[in-house]
Amino acid sequence: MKVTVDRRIYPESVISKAVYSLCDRYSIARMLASEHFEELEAPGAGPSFEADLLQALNDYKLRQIIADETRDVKTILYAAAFGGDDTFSADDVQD
Amino acid sequence: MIRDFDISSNDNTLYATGRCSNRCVFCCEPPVQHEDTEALWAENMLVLQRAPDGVPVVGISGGEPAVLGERLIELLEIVGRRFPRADVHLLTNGRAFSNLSYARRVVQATRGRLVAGVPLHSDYCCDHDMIAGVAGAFDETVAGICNLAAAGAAVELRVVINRYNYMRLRDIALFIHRNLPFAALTAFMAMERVGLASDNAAEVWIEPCDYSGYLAGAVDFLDQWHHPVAVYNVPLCLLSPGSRRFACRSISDWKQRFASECDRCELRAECCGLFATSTEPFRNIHAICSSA
Amino acid sequence: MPRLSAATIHSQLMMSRTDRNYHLLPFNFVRLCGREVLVNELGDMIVAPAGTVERIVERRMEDDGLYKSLMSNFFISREAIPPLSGLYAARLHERKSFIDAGPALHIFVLTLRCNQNCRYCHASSRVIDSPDCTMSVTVLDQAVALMMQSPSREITMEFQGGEPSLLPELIRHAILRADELNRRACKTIHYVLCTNCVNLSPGLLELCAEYGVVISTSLDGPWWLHNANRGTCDSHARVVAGIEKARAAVGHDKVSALMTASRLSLDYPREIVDEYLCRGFNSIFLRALNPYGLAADNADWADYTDRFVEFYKQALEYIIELNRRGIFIVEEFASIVLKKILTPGGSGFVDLQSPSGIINSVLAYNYDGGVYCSDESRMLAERGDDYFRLGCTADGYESIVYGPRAKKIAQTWAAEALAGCSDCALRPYCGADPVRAYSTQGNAYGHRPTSLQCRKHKAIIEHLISLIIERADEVLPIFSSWTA
Repeated sequence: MKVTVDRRIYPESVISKAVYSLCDRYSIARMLASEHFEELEAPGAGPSFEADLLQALNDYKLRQIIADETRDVKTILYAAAFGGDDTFSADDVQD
Repeated sequence: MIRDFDISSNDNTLYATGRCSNRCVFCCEPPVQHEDTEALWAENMLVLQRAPDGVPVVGISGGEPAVLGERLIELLEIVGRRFPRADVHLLTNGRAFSNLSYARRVVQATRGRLVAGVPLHSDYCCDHDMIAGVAGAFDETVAGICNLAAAGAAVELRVVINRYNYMRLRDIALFIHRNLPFAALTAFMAMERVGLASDNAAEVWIEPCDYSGYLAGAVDFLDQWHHPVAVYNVPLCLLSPGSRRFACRSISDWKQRFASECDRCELRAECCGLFATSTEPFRNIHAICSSA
Repeated sequence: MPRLSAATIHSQLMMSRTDRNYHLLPFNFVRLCGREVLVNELGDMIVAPAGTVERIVERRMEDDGLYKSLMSNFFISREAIPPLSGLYAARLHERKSFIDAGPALHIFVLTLRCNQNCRYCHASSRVIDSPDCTMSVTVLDQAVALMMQSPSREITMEFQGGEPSLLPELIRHAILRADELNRRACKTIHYVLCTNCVNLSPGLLELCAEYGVVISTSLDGPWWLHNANRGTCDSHARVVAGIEKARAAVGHDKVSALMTASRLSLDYPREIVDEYLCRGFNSIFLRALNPYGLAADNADWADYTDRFVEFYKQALEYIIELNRRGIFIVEEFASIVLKKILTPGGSGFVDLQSPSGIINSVLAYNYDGGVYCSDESRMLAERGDDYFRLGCTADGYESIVYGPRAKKIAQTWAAEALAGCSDCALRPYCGADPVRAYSTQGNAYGHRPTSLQCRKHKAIIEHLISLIIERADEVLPIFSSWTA
């Protein structure tokens, strides 16, 4: 079973995470077919592979967007929680 | 009118100011615009002078007492000297206490005997702001609640139920459970049908019999998670039977009245009754009889 | 004065209400029961219809109750930095407050000697007359001194083995030594004696009663199951007699029991729960076998793991049914996870934390003076692998807790920084376990897709969330009663 993925839609990091998450169920080979297209092949896998892969790709893409958009605020919130005495000190509110 | 302290009353309150920083849509005593703190200060000094010794709880209300700023601290120190063992019950919208150092100094002035009653109108910032009539009020109120608690005050949250928040009572309870679990009490309160609540009734009014299901959901949730919870100002006959044990006789004795139906009610003695000041009574008041 | 009408205020505020230029806050999601379960960094959960995450990301939310809930529960924000960031940070800190506390659980492996020979023994025990596997007084004194250097205000001193009750004088010495040092340190010290209850002498029980020592024993189930697991014909009778003797001496609530599910156990969830009930326990910890020590020789862990998960679900279902009938009994693992899902606090359970409980919350002092990260890591050492050995009791506290070995281990102890964990929506409810990864997968970093520990935890946590989604009215009153 082979699925071709457009890397302009699913960036490399998203493909990597999707493949990682599926590797207990499928043995997946990755091949760069052209500048933008990557082929993901799971020898011997049934048609469920395509559905599982696309679901994983879409979910990891959503997670990636959230992670990218929230990188700065996450750093700020964690710094405020554990960094001690900067401008976002947790001392501004309760213990 | 000066209301003197009475050792047998459940409501010995100093009225600090009629001014307020919020513009709550259901406010039963709409804020005054003019400066009134000086005149009220003099009255309050007189009340304190004439008060009997040993008053257990001194209330400070308004308006928004924190409008007094530094003079609130002075007032609390005077109260503390007059009644060293009294708890101070401050009714505030909490916003001024988003300043942590102010919160600390106010709590200090009561030597840690401060109970702050703070209205929380919603878990959703924009709904709270809309009900409070001020953009940004929610953030300041929640920060103030946290700061007061961090400074050592007991914080009682007050959720006044109105048309804009009654459907989110359980969400409000969830917000309290997750973010304000230190609250000493959460009180769900019926509106008093007077002032803006009466003037704006078409927009803000909601009858207890129309929200008792939502109220039960919120009360049960908080109780389930071991948070102290109470219902104020709702007569027992308008609560789901399961919520009745949370109801308090919350209406100040000088404001309390009963309807004629209440004479036959078995639970009258435990009931908060009705506000004598309301322009209209609640709908569906009825006697609770075990035979019925 | 002009009175403000609600309508005026409403229209003034409509601007902000219809503004869809909201910002995202960090969160993740998992698909369960045909829904999307959204979980933020604080561990707060929202159950939403399928497609919600996509709509949030694409700014296609309706101005409805869900939108309000996402805002009020820190999933989205009107401003790039949420106005209540102080509250958020304080809660984040609270959730991980165990990091500041310092090691609280101190495990003293007094001896490897044991008077039983259990088939699945985790603890690499030796027969009762084995020489050279008992802690010396010198090592014990050093270990107690190290323990007292932990900044933690609360300390739990746990006596392990082998069978520590074979050495009552060593236990007495340890408790008295700690008590003496504590006159200056003024910590709260709790004591736990892990024993098979077979050999509890009156003197030892007197000591336990005097110092409030909790007696923790093993009870696998009814007699036929327990005895089969232990490879004896009278172990159950002796344990049960020991439990009663211990209860009489130290008090009913100071005696607790742990079960371990052997392969045989997996077919008897109800019988095991019933045994706990009829022995007067109102809590049970459904524990899977650990692939440590002798137990690692057992075959086919994947099959065992899947069967354990089924066993766990059946036992939990029975426990829920009992609670519904008014019989209070807690399943401890569920209670730990549920505390993380349903309440703002952490759980304080060292095996399900990130950074993981090893070193941060636990130190183990082996009979030979080796200091390890956890009970499991010293069991690895018995099999000749010293990867998790932090030093020895003669070393200084700093060099053990902040030494090169601890630093090496720290690279793999945060789920936030592990492939497979960092992107997992269940991360706030789970933990990192480098010792397990090392012992089962050959490296401390581990490989989540093939990790049986991951498979088991995911299955159980997802099962608990499914119960919350599908049977809220039935299970929430029970679950909340477990987290009091």
